[in-house]
Amino acid sequence: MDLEPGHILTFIALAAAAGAALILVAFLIRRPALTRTTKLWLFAGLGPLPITAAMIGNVANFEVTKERTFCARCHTMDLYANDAADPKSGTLAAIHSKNPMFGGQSCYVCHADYGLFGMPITKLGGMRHVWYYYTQDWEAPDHEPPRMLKPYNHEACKACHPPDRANQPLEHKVHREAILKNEVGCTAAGCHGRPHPVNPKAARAAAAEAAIAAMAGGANSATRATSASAAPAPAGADGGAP
Amino acid sequence: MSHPHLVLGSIEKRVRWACYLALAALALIVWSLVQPAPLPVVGAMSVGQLFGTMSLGLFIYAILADLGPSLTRLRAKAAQTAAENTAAEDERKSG
Repeated sequence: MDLEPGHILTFIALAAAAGAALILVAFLIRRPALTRTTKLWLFAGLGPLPITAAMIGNVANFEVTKERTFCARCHTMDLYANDAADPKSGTLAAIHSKNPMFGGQSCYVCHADYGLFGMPITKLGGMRHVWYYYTQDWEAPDHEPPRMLKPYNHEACKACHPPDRANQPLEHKVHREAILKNEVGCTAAGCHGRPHPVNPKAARAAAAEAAIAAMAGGANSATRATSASAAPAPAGADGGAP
Repeated sequence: MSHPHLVLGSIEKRVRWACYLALAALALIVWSLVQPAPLPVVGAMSVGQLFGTMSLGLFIYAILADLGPSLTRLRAKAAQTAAENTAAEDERKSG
C-alpha cells in the first residue's frame, strides 16, 4: 500500500468517500422507506460527499502524477528512473533529481509543456503513454524502444536557466542567437551532457537504421538517420527519453 | 396512469442503482488514492467520474419521478382553481 501519510488531500478525499459509502451501504442493507429524511441522507451520500471525494481525489491524483515515483511505475521507465535516482550518476536527469526543490518531480518539471494549458496537454500526452504501455508488449525482442512523442522542448531548461541573464559563460555568449532560436539545444554534443542514459535497444535500433541508410544511400543518409535516432546526443535532440 | 406501488418500486430501484454506481465510483477513487499507479488513477478519473455522475443523475431523476405525481396533482389543483376563478369572474360580470 502506497498511502502517503503526509498527503492531507488524500485523507480528506478518503474521509468523504468513507462517509458516502457508509450512508449508501446502510441504505442498501436496511432498505428504509423513501421518506424525506432518507432522501436527504441519500442526497448527502450521492451528492456532496462523493463530489468532494472526487474533486479532492482528482487534485490529489494530479499531484501524484507529477511525482518521479509515479513515472517509474511503468517498467519501460526503469532505465531512466533508476538513473535519475542514482546519486552517483552524472546525467542531467540525475543531477536535477538531486535538487531538493523539485527533485521528486524532476520528470514532470523537465518534460511538462509550459503555458496556460501546459498541464492538461502534458497529462493528455501521458494518457497516450499509459495506453501504449498497457496495449503493447514492451518486453518483446522486436518491439521498438520507447521514444519521445515530439522533440524535446528546451524552453523547459530555459525557464529555470534563462540564456539572456547576466554573467553567462563564453559558450552561451557565442551561441546566444542559436540558443534563443532553439537551433542549439542544451543537450547538444559538447554542451551539458546526456539527459538520460542510452537505451541499449535504442542504440541498437539506431545503429541498424544507420547501417541500412548507409547501404541504401551513402554517407549523407546515414548521418541523417543517426541524427534522427535516439542513441547519440546530436545538437538539439533529447536522446532517448520516452 | 401507473399504479403507485409500481412507480414507487421503480423509484426505489433507481435509487438502489444510483447507490451501486456511486459505490463503484467511490471504490475506484479510493483505489487510486491508496495505490496511485497509472491504471487506478486513469480509472478513477475517467470511469469513476462517469459512474459518479451517472449515479447522481439517476438519483435526481428518481427524486423528480417521485415528485411527479405530487406536481401533477398540484398542477391539476391550480388549473381547477383558475377555472373556478374564471367562472366566478364571468358570473360576476354577467350578473
